[in-house]
Amino acid sequence: MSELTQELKAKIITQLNLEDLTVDDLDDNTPLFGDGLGLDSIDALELIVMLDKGYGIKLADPKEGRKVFETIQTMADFIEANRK
Amino acid sequence: MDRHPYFIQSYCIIRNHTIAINGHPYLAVEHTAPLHDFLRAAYRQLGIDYPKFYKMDGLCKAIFIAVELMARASGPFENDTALVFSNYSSSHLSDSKHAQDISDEANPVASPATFVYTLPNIAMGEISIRHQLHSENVFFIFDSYLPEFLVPYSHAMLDDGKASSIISGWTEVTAKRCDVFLYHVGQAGHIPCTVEHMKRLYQGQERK
Repeated sequence: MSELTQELKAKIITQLNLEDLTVDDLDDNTPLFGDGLGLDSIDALELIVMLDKGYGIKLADPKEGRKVFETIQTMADFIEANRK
Repeated sequence: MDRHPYFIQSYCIIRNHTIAINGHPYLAVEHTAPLHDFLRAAYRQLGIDYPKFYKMDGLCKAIFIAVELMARASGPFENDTALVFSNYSSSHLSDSKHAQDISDEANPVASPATFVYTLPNIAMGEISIRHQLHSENVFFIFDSYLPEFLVPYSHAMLDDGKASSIISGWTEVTAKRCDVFLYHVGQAGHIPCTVEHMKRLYQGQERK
């Protein structure tokens, strides 16, 4: 699981152009939106694409995204449970 | 009659890997540096904290830097400062990246972060957010820089009271070429905002 969270952190930094951050700056439980990493709605779409492209997971219910994208850890948990 | 009741308050030129504000050099980097490295160096030299900059495409980044420097040179903009921009290639940088994304035969998936910049007027939105402008804005596509159109257009907006000042000019940014000339026109300043003066400023023949 730790390998997956590290992989997700690297992907998020690259895909979302978070150039000021390194993998070590991101905590598994830091909120991705709001007061945490401060991601926006376009970033949310980018995360949905990342799930689809990188792990073959399509979010059937957009509302599901709120829980899935809460933290790096919740994303990793969701991927582990659903990846094909 | 060659009236010139309006004046240039500040102007910025980004061209050939150099940046000049009011005719004075601000930054110059190696001509071989990739566009994004050059613009990133300029952003870091500004010493501001605006992480969204990194997410912008090349067109937005160049415009962002030019407007930021002009804000420092001629003070914060009134929130009715209008934006009248123009270029030739529209948002071609992002358009071509998006086209590449969706034509990937193995995995044709659009990237929202790229797609969102596939309109040139997005750059004006970014500037409006950054400088809290609640104003008129328009982005023209021309074959080349056209002060014969831009100057009278800006004067008409100012005459009609649509804005207290205007940021206007030419913002051509492609993978190979960055040619940005933006100026802040209003009531104050020393250089009259005439077609002739705006041609000379664009060509780098006149200083404030």
